[in-house]
Amino acid sequence: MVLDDFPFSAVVGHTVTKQALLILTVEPRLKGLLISSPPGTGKSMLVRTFSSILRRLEQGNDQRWTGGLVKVPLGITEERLIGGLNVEQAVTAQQFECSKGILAQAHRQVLWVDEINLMQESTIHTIAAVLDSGLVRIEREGMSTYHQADFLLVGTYDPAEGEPSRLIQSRVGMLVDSSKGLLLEDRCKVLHRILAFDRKEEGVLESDVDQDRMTARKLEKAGRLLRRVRFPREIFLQLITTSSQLGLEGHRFDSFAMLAARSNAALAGRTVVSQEDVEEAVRLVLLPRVKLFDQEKERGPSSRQEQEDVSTQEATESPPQLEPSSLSNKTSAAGQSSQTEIDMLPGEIPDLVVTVAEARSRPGGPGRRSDAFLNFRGRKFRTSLQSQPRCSIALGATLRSAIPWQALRRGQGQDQFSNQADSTKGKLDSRIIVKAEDLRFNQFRGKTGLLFIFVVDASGSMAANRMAQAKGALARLLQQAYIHRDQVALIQFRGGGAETLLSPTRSVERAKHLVDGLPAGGSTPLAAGLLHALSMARSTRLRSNPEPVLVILTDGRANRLASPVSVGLEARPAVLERELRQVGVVIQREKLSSVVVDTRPSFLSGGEAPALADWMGARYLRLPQADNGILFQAVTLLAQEVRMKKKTS
Amino acid sequence: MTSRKKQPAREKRHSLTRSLSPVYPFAAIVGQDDMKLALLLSVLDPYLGGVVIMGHRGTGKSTAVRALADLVPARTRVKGCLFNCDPDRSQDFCQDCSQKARRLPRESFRVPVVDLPLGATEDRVCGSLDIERALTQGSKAFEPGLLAKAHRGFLYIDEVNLLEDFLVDLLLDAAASGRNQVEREGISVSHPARFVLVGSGNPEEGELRPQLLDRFGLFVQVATLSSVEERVEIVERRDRFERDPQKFCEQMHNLQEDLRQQLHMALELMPQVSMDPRILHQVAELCGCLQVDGHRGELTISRSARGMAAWSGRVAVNEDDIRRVAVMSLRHRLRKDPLEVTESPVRIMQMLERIFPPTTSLDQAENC
Repeated sequence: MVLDDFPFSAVVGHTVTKQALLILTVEPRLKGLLISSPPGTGKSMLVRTFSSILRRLEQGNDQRWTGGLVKVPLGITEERLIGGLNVEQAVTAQQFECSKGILAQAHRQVLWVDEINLMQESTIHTIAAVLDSGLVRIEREGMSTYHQADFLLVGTYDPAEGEPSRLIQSRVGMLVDSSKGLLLEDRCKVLHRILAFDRKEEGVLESDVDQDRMTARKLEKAGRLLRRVRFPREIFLQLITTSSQLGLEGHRFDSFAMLAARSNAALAGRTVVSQEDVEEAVRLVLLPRVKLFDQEKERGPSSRQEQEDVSTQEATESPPQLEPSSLSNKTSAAGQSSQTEIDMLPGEIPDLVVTVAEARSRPGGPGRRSDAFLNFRGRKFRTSLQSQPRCSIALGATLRSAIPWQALRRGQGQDQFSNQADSTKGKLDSRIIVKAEDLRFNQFRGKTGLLFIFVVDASGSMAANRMAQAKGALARLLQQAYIHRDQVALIQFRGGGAETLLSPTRSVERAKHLVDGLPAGGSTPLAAGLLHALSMARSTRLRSNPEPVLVILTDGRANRLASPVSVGLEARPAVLERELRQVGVVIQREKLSSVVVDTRPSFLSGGEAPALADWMGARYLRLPQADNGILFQAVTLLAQEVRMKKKTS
Repeated sequence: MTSRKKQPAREKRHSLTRSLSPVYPFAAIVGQDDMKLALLLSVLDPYLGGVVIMGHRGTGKSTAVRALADLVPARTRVKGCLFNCDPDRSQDFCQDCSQKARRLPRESFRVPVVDLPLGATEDRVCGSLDIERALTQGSKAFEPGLLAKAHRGFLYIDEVNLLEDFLVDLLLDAAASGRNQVEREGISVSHPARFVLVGSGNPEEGELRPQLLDRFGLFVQVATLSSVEERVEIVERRDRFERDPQKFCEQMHNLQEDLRQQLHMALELMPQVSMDPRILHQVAELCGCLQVDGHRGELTISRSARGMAAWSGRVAVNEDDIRRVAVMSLRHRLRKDPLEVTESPVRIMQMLERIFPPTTSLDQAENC
């Protein structure tokens, strides 16, 4: 027996993800699924094998899906995504034809976006709009038409590189965290199976192929059953009550949860939705979104309170399906993971971080992503008559300007309106005569915006002061944000580590809901704060989002290590300094523009903050008194410089 | 420049974008009264300046806008006109119609709701060279863009806050002048483009440019409904609709028909609605006290209040009408200060209470 595809059932682990994929197949109204998992854990394998299951369905006469898998490259141009004029047809046959984009090609197939968290914002928005309507609408370059595009979206990403845009998260039914590590035994199983598949060994995967057949049959049966599945009123009420208590935005998730529960029941061969199904729906549809909100901490203390209320309520009033423990586990696990990220860094790690980052940013580095780093990306937003140094010719526009003149240029009669003669002759001679004055050039719209990352020392007595300064400057920056499309973010460090108070945003609304951090004693993990900012800056650069600018408010007196190494009291200052120097050098090497704002009165200054600014290659500003006017000016000045630098480079 | 007379095939392609499948009925939308009211008011007075709806994702913004067209009564246009010219307003004619004879044939057409998709290019928004005719016939003709299609209808922009700046500029120009002027690639065309601009978006993804925001007549904030009963109703209706759209629309037919009737009556009533000079004075005072720049605030309140009166079947604007529309007319015009603690609706409500004390509303009712 020769295997063409690795069997779906042979993928080890990923149980939740697999179930989610099956639920999605049975109920396509769930639209899609986002899978978060570290690299090399078999995401791609899973998605590919999933499409092979769909192919089996096709053989089993399911009309809905053709089993194809269409992968969207990260750096895709808008034209390829949604389609446009078929230039080849226009030139060779002088015919007017609209070619389909990748979204329309994915009609009735699975659309797979790998590293969906790194995809350009505008691309994501287009995909989200199409996902919603099932239609690709084209209004560009003289074309006005639409294509059908009903697809299942499967997005995969590595959570270490940031979360996907909230828009796409809200448009797909399920979010799955598939990062659970495997036991040694399972790891061996993975190896064994993959090797067997590679060597085309017989026998090893046979039972999995049988299993796949069973799964396909189960899917077909569930598809037929789905319309008859009944949702008992009280369970349905319970589901909606839960959902409304979780305080999620919008009503889409209610619908998604209902669909998921129903689909889960159909998969189990039942025609009545049970508690168990609701439990699964809550786990796949609702809870992951709660976790996200909780992480961001933007909804203010009141809503956190609410969430706690919910979980205690659940414990006491006990709709048992809600697993209050799983909710709290999840949130605490999230807290831990950010904790360990920092704790895991031993003294020497920053160097390692640098090499990894360099390897990534080098074009043509670890293969697959390199296509996103072409020189000209972003939206070609306008075509113009003017040629600029690094311009590409806009073919469509050039043709359009050349075509009306063809009849004249060929000298085939001055009468433009003798259409018949022209078009027959045109077919004999299909060349198009293009003159210099026809040429049109693409103008690309660079991402000119900046991301101001405020890193605020929230420890010690001056914490409230610094926070007020940062917020003042932040608010004033946001007021003008729409001019340059700038964004702001706020990180605080204190006590045990650093945390994001405000993830990058352009929204005044979100900034308003900013929670005040509470000062926490004398412990100052400055290096941790810088590392946190560094990773935020990197992930925005990966996404080719606005250029990050760091604004660090501190007195420079670090007294807590970022690494968990235990150091004797005498050695401590040296280690602290070494840590800061290392992080500083990384920041300088990555050419991050930054300013260190020293909040310490001058008579106390021991020169720590100036030294830090020196290591980072940052500007230094002493600002002992609370005056956000000066801070704002300093930041705008720096911003101007960065913008100038970007323009000239 | 040739006019487009023998082009039956092309028209077909244009009309495809609508009526692919039944639209979710407006009457079936649960809650979100402000949003629904604002949309209806913009139908009653197209000069209101449109509506912008901001708020949480998944609260039915797009659904409501797309459902609107089905409520609005059909209008009359010059037969075969690509720009939906109104036969009774010769001053707004397109070039083709103004060259034609006095008595123009008429036809009725459904009010267009034109979607501006993300990624639309400038030439398709304004209109440009008809590339198909240029290719196949070698002739130069104007291909109307989305602005032409939206004339006398609605132009809907989802995610309006993400729209490219140059497109926003184009829309502002057209919305301000009521005409679209195309001068490019050897084409020179001017045609009417008077449309109701409806935008929606999520403020988390970025703010609207203040200039654009100010052009919109009404601003509505939508939020997720918290009542469990309403949420159940939303999910169930949506599910019923998705399973069998036809049947669902039939079930909703009576409700939908009532709304349609009410809108029709209100439209008839609109020209007769008057506003007491005293109320007008108070409205000006309200805007003055709130330090609203320019006169758009007063104008918008007056217009929407007239619509509100007509919607309630009255021909005189009363103070309740003002109270109902003040927040949505003004909240986006107050100076925005990120550090300001009081939200603008609260400030407007406080000022309303001062200028329109609750007691007088009773006297007002008696006087009427």
